[in-house]
Amino acid sequence: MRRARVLVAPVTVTPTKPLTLSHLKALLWQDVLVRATAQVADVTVRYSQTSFHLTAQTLGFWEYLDRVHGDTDYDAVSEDDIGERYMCYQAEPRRVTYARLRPYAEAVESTGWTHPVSDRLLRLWVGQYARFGLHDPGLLRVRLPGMPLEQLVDLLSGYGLCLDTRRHGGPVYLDATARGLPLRPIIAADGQPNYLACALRDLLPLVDSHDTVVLGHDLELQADYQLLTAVLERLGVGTHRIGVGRVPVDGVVRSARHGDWRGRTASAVVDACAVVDACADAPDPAAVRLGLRLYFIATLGAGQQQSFRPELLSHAVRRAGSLLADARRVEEHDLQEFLCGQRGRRPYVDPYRLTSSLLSRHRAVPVCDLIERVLS
Amino acid sequence: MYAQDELSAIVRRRLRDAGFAAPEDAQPATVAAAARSQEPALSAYAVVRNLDPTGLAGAVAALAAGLPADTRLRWRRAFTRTVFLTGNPANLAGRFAFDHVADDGSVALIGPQEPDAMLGLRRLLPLVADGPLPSLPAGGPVTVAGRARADRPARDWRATVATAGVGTAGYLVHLGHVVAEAVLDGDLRPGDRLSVRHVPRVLHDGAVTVRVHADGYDPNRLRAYAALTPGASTVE
Repeated sequence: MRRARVLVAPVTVTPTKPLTLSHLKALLWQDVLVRATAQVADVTVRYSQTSFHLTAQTLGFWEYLDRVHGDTDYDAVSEDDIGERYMCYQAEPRRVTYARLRPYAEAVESTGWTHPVSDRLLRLWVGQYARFGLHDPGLLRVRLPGMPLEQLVDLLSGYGLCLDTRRHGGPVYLDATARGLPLRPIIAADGQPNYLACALRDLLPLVDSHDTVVLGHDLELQADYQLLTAVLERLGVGTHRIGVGRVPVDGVVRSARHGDWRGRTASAVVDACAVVDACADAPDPAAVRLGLRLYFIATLGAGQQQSFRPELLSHAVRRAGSLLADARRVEEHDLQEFLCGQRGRRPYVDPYRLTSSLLSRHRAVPVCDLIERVLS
Repeated sequence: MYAQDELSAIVRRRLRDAGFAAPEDAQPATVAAAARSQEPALSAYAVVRNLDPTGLAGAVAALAAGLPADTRLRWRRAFTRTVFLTGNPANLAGRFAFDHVADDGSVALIGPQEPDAMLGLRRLLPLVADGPLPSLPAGGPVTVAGRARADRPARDWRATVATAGVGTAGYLVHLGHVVAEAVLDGDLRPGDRLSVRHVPRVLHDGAVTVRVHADGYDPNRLRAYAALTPGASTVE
């Protein structure tokens, strides 16, 4: 039987601020989903940083840095320093016009140009991905969006999915009102596309060569991703969404623009959990990687009800150490067969179900293979 | 040019026609207060895909002409209030029953409704943005749809709308009111031919209906924003 061709398209983290706990959680979910599903289907991951450089958040930050700080050598700048500058950018009382961002947008469109600040962050993240055991989807690769913006508008208009009011001084709307979803601007009246336009330019050229699309997104973007799903389905592509919530700290979900990363960047937290028990030896890196998955996937789940608790993360790392030690003594079962069972009738393997299965005493779980090929 | 006292008299007449007291010093704010004072105030809805002035004028006229007498009266008391929303009527036809759709699908109308009756539509569609008014096509005359009465031959009318200092949303509101109220007054009827023309300022030209509102340049002044005048457009 032919394996299903699954296109997995997670929302990207824009390289303008440090990787936070919420980002780490989303990345772990994506990583497990992709690696587990790839065992039982032909998976393509679309994760183009270049396509999303075109959003106002990224272009605006670049313009701000050049305007306010001028020539800066970013090669040795830390993630935290970049985060501080990002907060100053977000605190500016007024946004510059799109005309001021156009030189940056045009450079991205033509060559995939990346500002040195984002290049620096992405290089730092490559190291962090390796440490967290995340497959690098090509953070440093230039991947231009496969469809020009105006072609997107034409294509969507042909399906009645687009309402272009630019002639009247208005925006271009994505129109799934026939499905009961509100009109949503994707290109502002001044020509600035938003991330939905970027996502569509990125995805639409790829959907024909796949059987199913799986979209990974932040729960706060749920309405937009419902819209994206409706559009893809109207174009005849089976589409699934996996929404993953953020990680509240002390009961509050805050964003990078408000400094939620201060003292809690992903790397700082992982450092801290490694020394929580001062008397113990530093944990095995494999136990840290597995522990991160047990905590951010199985313990926290997809929602965002539970605040971050470092002691539970440390506990998960210790639990992971025991699992790794015990795994060598357990009789192995077939990984593919197990993952097919996990997948059930969905086109993808659910990371929560899969990771939780490791903690079950009653099921036949191929622990060694699972950890080695999917969870580390 | 209309004098301020003429414009004030038009505002007072509009109040009286709607069944309200019309004090000597009536201002657009008096009209707005009168509209708010009556509950529940009806509101018509226009879903605009393309800004086609003639198509919109014809659609509003056809809608007004087709209303039952009691709805006409209540809509008049609401000063022919109409909410202009951005949307594609073709995508909404399965969910909402439009009373009139322009032939080219550029606009569709739902007749006057009770407050909150159209919350579903409002949730889906934004108001037409009040950006700078784009260049508008003149377009040929449109024949007002509906059953023509035999008591007088069809007439030609032109709706003249001010464009200087007027945004897109304001333009739609002014054109909508002048056409709807001319129909409710019994001047503009099914079978009549209606054309739309644009001028920086509306001047005296024998209009039967004039839309007067606070002047956007100076709210203490009144301004004529639209007028409905007998006769075909003189532009060849």
